[in-house]
Amino acid sequence: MPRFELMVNARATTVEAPVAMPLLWVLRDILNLTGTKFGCGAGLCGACTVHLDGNAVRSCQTPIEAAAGKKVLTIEGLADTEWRALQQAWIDEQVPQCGYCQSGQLMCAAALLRIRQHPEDAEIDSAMSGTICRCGTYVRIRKAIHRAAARGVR
Amino acid sequence: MSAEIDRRQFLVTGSVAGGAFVLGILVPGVRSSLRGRDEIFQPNVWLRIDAEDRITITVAKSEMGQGVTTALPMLVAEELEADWSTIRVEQAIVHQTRYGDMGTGGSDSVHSSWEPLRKAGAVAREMLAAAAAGEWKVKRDTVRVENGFVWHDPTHRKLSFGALAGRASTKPVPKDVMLKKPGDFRILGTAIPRIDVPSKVDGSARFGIDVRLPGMLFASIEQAPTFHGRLVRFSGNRAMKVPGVRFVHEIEPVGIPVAEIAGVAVVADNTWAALEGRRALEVVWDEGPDSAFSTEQAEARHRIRAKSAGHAFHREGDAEAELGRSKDVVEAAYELPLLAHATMEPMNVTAHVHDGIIELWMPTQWGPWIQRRISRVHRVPIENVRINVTLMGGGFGRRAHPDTDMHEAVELSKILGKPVQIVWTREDDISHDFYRPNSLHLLKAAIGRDGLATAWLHRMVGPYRSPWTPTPADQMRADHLRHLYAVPNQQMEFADVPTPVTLGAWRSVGSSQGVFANESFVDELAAHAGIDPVEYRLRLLAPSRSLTLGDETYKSERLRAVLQYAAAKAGWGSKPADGRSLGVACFGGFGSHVAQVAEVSVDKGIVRVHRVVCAIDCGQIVNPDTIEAQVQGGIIFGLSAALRGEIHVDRGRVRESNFHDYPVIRMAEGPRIEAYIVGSTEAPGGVGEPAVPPVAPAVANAIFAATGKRIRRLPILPNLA
Repeated sequence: MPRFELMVNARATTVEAPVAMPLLWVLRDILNLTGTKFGCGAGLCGACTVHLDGNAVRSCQTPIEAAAGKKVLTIEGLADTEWRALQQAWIDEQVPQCGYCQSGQLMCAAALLRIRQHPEDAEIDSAMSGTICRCGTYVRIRKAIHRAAARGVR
Repeated sequence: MSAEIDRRQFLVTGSVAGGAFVLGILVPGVRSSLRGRDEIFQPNVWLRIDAEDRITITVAKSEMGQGVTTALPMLVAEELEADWSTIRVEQAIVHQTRYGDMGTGGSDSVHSSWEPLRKAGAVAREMLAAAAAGEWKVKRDTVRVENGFVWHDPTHRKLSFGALAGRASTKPVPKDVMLKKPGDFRILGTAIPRIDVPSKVDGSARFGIDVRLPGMLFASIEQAPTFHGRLVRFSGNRAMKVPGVRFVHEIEPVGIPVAEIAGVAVVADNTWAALEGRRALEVVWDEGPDSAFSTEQAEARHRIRAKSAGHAFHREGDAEAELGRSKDVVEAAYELPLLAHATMEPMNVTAHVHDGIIELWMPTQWGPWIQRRISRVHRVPIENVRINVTLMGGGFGRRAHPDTDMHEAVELSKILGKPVQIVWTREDDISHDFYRPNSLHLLKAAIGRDGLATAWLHRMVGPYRSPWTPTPADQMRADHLRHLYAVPNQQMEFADVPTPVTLGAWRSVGSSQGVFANESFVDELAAHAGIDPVEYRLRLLAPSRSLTLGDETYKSERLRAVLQYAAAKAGWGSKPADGRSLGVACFGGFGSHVAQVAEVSVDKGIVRVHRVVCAIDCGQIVNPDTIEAQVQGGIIFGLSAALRGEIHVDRGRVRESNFHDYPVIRMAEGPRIEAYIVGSTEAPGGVGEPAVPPVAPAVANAIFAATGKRIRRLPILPNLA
């Protein structure tokens, strides 16, 4: 079985996995980092979003081979970064309902704020529309991103 | 308010020695007909106060995002006079002999717990007060209870709940207690932050799919592509060659219709390997007796069936005679599709058979039903079936049934001697759901000289007694067709057309169908009479009427009030912004009264919903923030269905498979939502479902206002394309 070395939440990690195994399942089933969620397996819903070298990617569409040697940031690592305040904005706005998609929502929002410190509604809509929430928390997600931006998160 | 206490609903344990006070409380069974049977009356909420002042409330209702694990403890804490910061909440393990019925659905948890949980808090408060009075040798009426302490003001003494816990457990349960007046509430009616939110922003919240046990294996099941197809033969040789695959096994039907998944399981070291192994299976199916079935065929049957009378389950006056006499009759038919739930967390279950015990971890709305089923099918005593209810990544009715691979997981764990987690793919989920039924609604009205309806006939045509639903037939019943409008002659009918499709409860159940038909039709009547749609509804609601469905009563005054409120907030009557049009809908359901106004534009056939204003009277407000969240969520959920939701069946199988062909509303399409909670002192109604049904008709009516085109078939978008 091939071995891959990568940084996961700032920790050097080695995994043995088939080259095509998606990062999603490496995280969830081998590394037990279950905060990253399986939603569609087809890159359609965004629940599995993580950061790969700072960019938001769909981990269900990212083979482990493509993550080798790179930095992976998952929801479990978010609190140890500049994005802690984004999580606080999520709490302040009481965003989650069932909460299942929220890891992906937060990772997408963080990626947006990295490139746009004060995004407008239309920019938020376009950056966040890849990530589905069936509970319909969109109104609050938008507010939480504005709140975080206003506080100068990032 | 003084409330009598039925002492049989309480069980006190704990001890002076241990310094703990434990109160078991029976919240009588839910009124929803989703409810399981053969309940044993046992406490289903537990309140524990320990010597360290920690208050733990064990909630036997399932958390699926509706905030129940925050709302129910608020009811207890209010009357207990607890310090909210000392409250901890635990999810109960399903144990029939400890918790009784734990089913969660019908927007019913707060409603059914409103009295019993406040009484429970008050009982505990009185026992703590009695303990303090005894300790100080003073009269009960000289002590007061506030913020986690019992106080004796004349002597400036106080004792914490923790210090009194052991002694309180020896006091008798009082015969009656005083419940607080709403004006004195400190916790109820305030936006207490949800207990589960912090864990849902840092990845630590554990859903069913996140269960990880030592030695656990992962499984995926290839199911028949058609409804009621059967396995003929298979080969797992190629699957076994996939790295990580351990085991391929035929799942035999357990002999309970709809509660079983007949197919081939692939078990592996991780989910990915199981899925890869499944792709490598070679399977031959007998497609079964319904392999020619299609929704097109079903719709044709509905249209034929609609021509003759159905079973009239409700009559007021004589609608048929009035329709026969009238020279002015309006008629319209509405068609609604099958809908999938598409919870974000795919179906899953984890089983571990060990030491004679069957243990399951499951994101479920109905733990006890599962426990009974497992006990029966696997022939183990019920006390040896342990169900751990996990957080749910969405419920919406999908998780109200004992259908999801639980027997299969148990069987695999038995054979392999290890914990096994079965995970469905999104494709499994979309194509093997228990769908919201499809239906046709034929409505006829006779119109009087004032333009108001004098007769109203509603014939709902669709699957009623489907053998393929785990939901009791009365859930599919057409009660939801009834309304508060003062039409002197009414007839509600249901015409059954059997289907091979598996059906179930979908957030707001039959109201998602009946309310669309009613509120579209009343809009048509308003247009026919040349009367403003809000004004027309208000006139039909002017006579004081009440409508009792189950144990809920709806009143025309309350519906008028929310309708007027929503209309005013939406700017009804003044000219909307350029290119925008307004549409309205209202109804009473799930114990609440709700009205919505949608602001819509239609540009070259493209419908855009800009804003939805909602007013809800859900009685006494428990947590306004949760109510607002449920209204926002209900509107988005209803809008997904209204604009895009449709499941097609072709050749006996579902055509849709994932979010590309079963699209749901994404953020960019989400409208601005304004939720107004109209205060009321009535007992709390539900909030999880009532915001769903009015969205579709409000949007459809706005499209009529914009274009003159009536939407008589959902979803909306293809109609305008």
